Amino acid sequence: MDSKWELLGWGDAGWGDQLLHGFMMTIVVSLIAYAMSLTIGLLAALSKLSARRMLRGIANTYTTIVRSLPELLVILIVYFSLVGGAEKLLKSLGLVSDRFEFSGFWAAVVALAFVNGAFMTEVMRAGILAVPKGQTEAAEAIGMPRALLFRRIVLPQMLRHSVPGLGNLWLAITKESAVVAVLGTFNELLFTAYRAAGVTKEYGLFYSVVAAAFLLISLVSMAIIHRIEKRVGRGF
Amino acid sequence: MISDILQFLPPLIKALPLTLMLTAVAGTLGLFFGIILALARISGYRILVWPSFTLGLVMRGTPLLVQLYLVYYGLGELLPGTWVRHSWLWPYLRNAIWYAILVLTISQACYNAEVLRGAILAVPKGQIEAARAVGMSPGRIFRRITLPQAFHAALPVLASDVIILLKATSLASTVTIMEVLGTARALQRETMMILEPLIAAAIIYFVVVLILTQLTSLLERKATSYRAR
Amino acid sequence: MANDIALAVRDIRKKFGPLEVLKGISLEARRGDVISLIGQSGSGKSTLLRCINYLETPDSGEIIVGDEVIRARPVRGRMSRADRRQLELVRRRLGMVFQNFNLWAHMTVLENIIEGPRHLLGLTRDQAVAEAEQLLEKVGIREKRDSYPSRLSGGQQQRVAIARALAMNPEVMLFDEPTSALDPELVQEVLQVIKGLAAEGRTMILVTHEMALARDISSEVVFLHQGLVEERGAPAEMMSNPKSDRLRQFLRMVA
Ligand SMILES: Nc1ncnc2c1ncn2[C@@H]1O[C@H](COP(=O)(O)OP(=O)(O)O)[C@@H](O)[C@H]1O
Ligand SMILES: [Mg+2]
Repeated sequence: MDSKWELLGWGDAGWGDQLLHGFMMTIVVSLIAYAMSLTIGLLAALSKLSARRMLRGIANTYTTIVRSLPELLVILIVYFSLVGGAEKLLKSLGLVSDRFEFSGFWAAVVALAFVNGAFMTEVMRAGILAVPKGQTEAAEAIGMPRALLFRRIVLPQMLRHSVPGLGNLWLAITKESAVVAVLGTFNELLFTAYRAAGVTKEYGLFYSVVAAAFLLISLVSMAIIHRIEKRVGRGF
Repeated sequence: MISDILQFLPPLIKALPLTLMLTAVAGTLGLFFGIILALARISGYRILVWPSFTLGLVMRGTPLLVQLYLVYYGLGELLPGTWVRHSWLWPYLRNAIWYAILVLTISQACYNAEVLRGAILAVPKGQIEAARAVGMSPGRIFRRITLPQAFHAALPVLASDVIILLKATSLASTVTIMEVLGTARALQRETMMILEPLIAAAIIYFVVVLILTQLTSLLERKATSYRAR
Repeated sequence: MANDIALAVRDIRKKFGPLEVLKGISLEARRGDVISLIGQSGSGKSTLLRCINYLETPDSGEIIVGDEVIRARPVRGRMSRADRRQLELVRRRLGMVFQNFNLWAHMTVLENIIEGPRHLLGLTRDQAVAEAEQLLEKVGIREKRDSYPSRLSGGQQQRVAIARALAMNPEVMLFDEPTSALDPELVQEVLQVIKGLAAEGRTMILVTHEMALARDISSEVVFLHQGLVEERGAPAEMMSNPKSDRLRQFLRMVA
């Protein structure tokens, strides 16, 4: 029994330090991917509501396809396209040096953001549509330019409507980040445990620790989301 | 490129039944256990509420892939040391598919339970009082009034959870199961073509999800036809 | 003489699909005029008012505000940058008050009022607040300046909406049934404010079912029927002595 706990210790004998590093990496990947998917989601949602048919078409295609494919499959496709096509393209354009390689980290981040951006789009679109039309008309009627109108009238109210959806997507993205372990390109939590379990044959131990760590992330996130929901529920 | 992709469709279509079987089995069992878990949650008996609540929290708070690894590798490590090793069950239990079904079923049950619990609690109190007023027993009220309405209300989410389940079965490919994605990844290694098998798999998933979406919206329209438009 | 005209509407036509809602309507308001638009529900009053500030785009006709002819014409649903800019500038000269108030729900009363002056007229916050407080005084709800709209009665919300429109210093005020969404006991407080504005000599276009108000403050009453002007004239004359049967019927109905 003692030896098992030693496996989780620090230093050469134990995997504790690597696991902690993996834990941090999982959180960092999730945070960056989440921020990127917010951007993608906002742009795609605006495209969906735009008067331009081209933009609507592109955004609809993106969300329809991505949302109907398994996350793992999309992540694999994005990953292989990035390390294959995009890398070659950037090199041929001379934007990066010949030795350039997408790091496993960034490939994973982009793949995760690409998947979740599609779900984010729907959350944001619903949020924008939830702002009463009369309120945007009132802003138009005093001659507000569209960008200002979006920033001052739509955005604040839309965020409030979107908080539950945004919270769910954060929970989803932290869990989905485990899927990038399949790529095996950098040491996030699950891949670290995978290696540790492979070396030590202590599968149950390491995967239990990983499960507990993810549960911790989820529980803390849920508590924070709950507080945010209560805060924005106040006031107007 | 296009003909390369097309050549991968037949072997992947052969793998589709396994994907559909995983979805159907875990979906059906998941719904069954989901109802039980939902009832346990709202039963009011602490001995039932606590385990069902905790199970739901753990299953919904951790990644499915981690659960799959934990069960597949963890049990795989544990079971050989027990009586199971020498029982007639053993040959079956060495097949990864049982672990995948186990994990997918429990996960699905927990998500279904959450939806059903919400839907049961949302049935208007007035209707239950009306049923009590005509002298129905609590059990009968639950079977005849509460459950049908909760089910109708939950149907859209339950249906979309089946589609999520179908997509989730692809994670089984990571524990050697040759469903659609597993087959596509094997073809990747065999042919040294990187994107083509994956895109062929994407086409298959897309079509299946499209059909499922149409079916569920048809189902929903039927199920909600009693409502005023 | 021409620059005496604050707002002119020339032969406006508007269809929604096959439904022809406005079939060629013209109006002219000189400075200080109050024009009341009356007519049955569905006769096109709101659409006309919304065409004036281009919340609806008319199919044909002209809107002239002061010396500016609005030339905005969307091509396949899109407007050129210059046209949009012109429209924004013209809209700042037209104040709009909606039937349903349409206050911005995430802003307090004060924030609703200073939003336009600060971001569109370039006032500092202090200047905007000082003016807003005068306006709140004028519409009689100074004590509510830090409340959110959801905490106000309909009458209070509508008075804030009027103050918000006034804060832009518009040359013409447009009112679309400003008291129709209000409980009966709250109507008077809003009517008082509108009467006050008329007495100040504000130029206004007013859609209303309040015949007493229309009679008291209008320089002209325009009766719309099925997208056309059925009858127009001085209020006292029109109401006591309607020429068309339709207006007679309408007046009997609302009386
Ligand atoms: N956005 C719209 N789309 C289609 N029909 C509309 C729209 N707005 C108004 N209408 C129709 O135009 C007619 C006139 O409406 P409106 O101008 O609101 O009348 P009023 O304000 O006099 O009651 C009505 O028949 C109404 O249904
Ligand atoms: Mg109207």
